Amino acid sequence: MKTLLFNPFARYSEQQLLLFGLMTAIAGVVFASLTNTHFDGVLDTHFGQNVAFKTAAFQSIINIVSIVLVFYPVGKWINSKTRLIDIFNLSLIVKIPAYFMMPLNINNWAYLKTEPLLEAVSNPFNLQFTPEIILFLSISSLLAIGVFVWLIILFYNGFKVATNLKETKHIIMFILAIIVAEIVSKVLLMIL
Amino acid sequence: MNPKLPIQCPACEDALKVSQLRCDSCSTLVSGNYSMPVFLKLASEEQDFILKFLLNSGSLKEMAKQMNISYPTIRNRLDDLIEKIKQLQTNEDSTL
Repeated sequence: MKTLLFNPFARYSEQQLLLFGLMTAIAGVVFASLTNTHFDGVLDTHFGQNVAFKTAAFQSIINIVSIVLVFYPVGKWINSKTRLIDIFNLSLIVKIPAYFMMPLNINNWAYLKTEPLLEAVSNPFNLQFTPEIILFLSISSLLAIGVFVWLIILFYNGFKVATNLKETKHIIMFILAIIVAEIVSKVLLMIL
Repeated sequence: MNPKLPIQCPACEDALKVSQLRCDSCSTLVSGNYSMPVFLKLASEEQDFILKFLLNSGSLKEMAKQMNISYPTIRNRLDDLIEKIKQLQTNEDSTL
């Protein structure tokens, strides 16, 4: 179970990972449009009110492309035997933890709860924290932290298996690659 | 029970050498100071890995299926083993 959740790359074949990754990516796009969730960046999850299927699909494709564009050359540099299929599978699988955030916005629940708070930020004296809001913020923050930690563990394990990385300088390159991939995805979403 | 051939000194962890060989049928003893071949300096799991590699005609994909692990995991193990053997050979050459 631990391997399945945190390091499926060590055990499952590239065909199994590809099939599972594509299925979850398609399901992710469908549920993102149903729950109005934006995955507008490699590490981002935001809730909206109207997210079209086309928008969700476009954001998903940009995230995959950004990860492959950044991590494939870095992987090749670390280990010339790094394969494109392993990096592509990594780009599909690492998004799975973020999909667990989507139920929060069924019927725009999270959006409708947080929007008044964001609007009131300009005038903090108008901020009203009802017990319901405090409970929502506590649960969603804990979930977001858990999802982020899971995503980073999956990312690291997948890249480690794909490249056989061991040295500290390679770990630093991995961290930098995540930041660069996030920037690339944001820029691509902005200009395309 | 099939005892494992010790390859490291239990006291100082240095590589062990062969100092005595015995013929089971006539009990002749040969004494000397022989270095162990590189293959025997590897851990038993590493020796098993090499045997499996040989028996699968060097197909890492076939090995991955048999061992129920992914192809890159097998390839990484092989790369690590190659590195270790190169290191052992370098150490052997420097002690000659």
